[in-house]
Amino acid sequence: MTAPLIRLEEVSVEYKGFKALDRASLQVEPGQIVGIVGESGSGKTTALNAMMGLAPISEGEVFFGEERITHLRTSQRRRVWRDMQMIFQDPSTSLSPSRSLAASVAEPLIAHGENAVAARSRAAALLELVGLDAAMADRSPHALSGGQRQRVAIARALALSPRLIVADEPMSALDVSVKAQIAALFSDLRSRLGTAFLIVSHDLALMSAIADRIIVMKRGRIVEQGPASAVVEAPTQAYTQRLRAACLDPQEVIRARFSDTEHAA
Amino acid sequence: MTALLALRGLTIEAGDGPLVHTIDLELAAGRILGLVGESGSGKSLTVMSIPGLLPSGCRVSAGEIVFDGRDIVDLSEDQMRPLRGRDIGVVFQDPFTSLNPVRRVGSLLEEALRRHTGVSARVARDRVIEALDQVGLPDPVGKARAYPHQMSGGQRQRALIALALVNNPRLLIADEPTTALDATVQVEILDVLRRSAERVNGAVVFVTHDLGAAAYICDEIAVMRGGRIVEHGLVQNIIARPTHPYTKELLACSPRLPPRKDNRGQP
Repeated sequence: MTAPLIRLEEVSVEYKGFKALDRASLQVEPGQIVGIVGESGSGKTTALNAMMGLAPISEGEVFFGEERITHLRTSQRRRVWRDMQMIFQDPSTSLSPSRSLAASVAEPLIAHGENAVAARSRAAALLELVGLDAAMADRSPHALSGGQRQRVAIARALALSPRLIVADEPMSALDVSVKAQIAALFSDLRSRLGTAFLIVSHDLALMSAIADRIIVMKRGRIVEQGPASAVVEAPTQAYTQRLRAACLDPQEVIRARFSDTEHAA
Repeated sequence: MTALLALRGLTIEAGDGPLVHTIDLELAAGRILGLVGESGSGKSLTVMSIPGLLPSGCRVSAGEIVFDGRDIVDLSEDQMRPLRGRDIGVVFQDPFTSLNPVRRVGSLLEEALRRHTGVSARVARDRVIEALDQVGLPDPVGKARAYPHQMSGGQRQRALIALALVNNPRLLIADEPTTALDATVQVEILDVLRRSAERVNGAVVFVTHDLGAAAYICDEIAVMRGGRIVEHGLVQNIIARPTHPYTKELLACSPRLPPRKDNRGQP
């Protein structure tokens, strides 16, 4: 059996005595999509930052494959980052406004020693992979919609063929119809490339559509985790049930509001 | 039944052309209308034109805004000010930026109340506490003395709703009032909006990108896209039997959870 791609063992993160993450244990297997769901202040972003070496870990261990990466120095961390790329909520701030799309996507390749011509042609292929027209390669990001920008950020994250992409609320700044398209893209990339995704989201319904596993967090702790279908269809924790009830499915809502009058009529 | 609010052929332009095209809508007292659309649909411009709060560079170029029988589209700022805050209340999206951070919550409400009515300071204070209580804030007396930063996001949004409702306006405009909030808080705030509207028998225009939230509180829904209303009707018809392809598309991307398998849920 292969080791999980990434594993947190009883990890805590403290900021000035405040426990932002409280003994969290989780893992992502190769090729898995895992969703971390919770509301603001739940510690879900802190969990990502702990993995990426961007948060002060006060106890516990982080493993990437067999390697312990809890307290790596930055010089060693770069090697791990190559295999673990990150995507952020707002695609407009993570792309340089003065660079063409191709240049943004090619940048990590060039930084890792690829020659400019090869990097550019790989960038064009990556843009097509995420559903953009390679003819857009020379445009600048301001000409794009939010969804297109997020696709470029995904292409850039894929440039070094990482085994894991970690994404912090990648859909929450997008319009409803675009959210679903980006979620479908994550699913599609996992099938085609075998990339694993760890996605932080406040949207339980969206995660239930694409994740294999769901982790529910509240106030720095993991309150429930398991296969997505089990967590969503038979939540055991009251908090998960509340999150579920807060998902307003329009048709369900209308059935609940108008069922009495229909029976009366 | 006469409408409290009627938009007739409302067209809004910026420098380079119309952003909102010939909107026709009517709303009776006591009704909640959801104006639903994605970014750039023109939904916020449409409602912000009603209390005269269009961003600079945008103007109403054609049409009427009839409020309580009177066309208010050409009112000057001086003529609009007595209406806004008294007859027309407005709740904005972001409770973090729309409360003055250096003012106590109670004094903001008191000022809004006394600006429009001649009530004494004592009556105003009582009414402020009552308004904070009516939006479900715990310890309304303490909250009146609090500064916005001492409250959670959900509490601030409740305070903003109390501020908009303190004069019992006949029309409440709520522009994405729950978008910045956590899902469990959103449901609570929607309940507050619905109860408040019922209490004052006011009309509400609720702007949202979220069909689920609109389905939860609205009596009717108008779906906007590209500055136009593509479909308008009773909420149960729009959600159960949408006719426009765009409404169908929005519904298809709305959150849908698989049914619960344990027996604690609904049958």
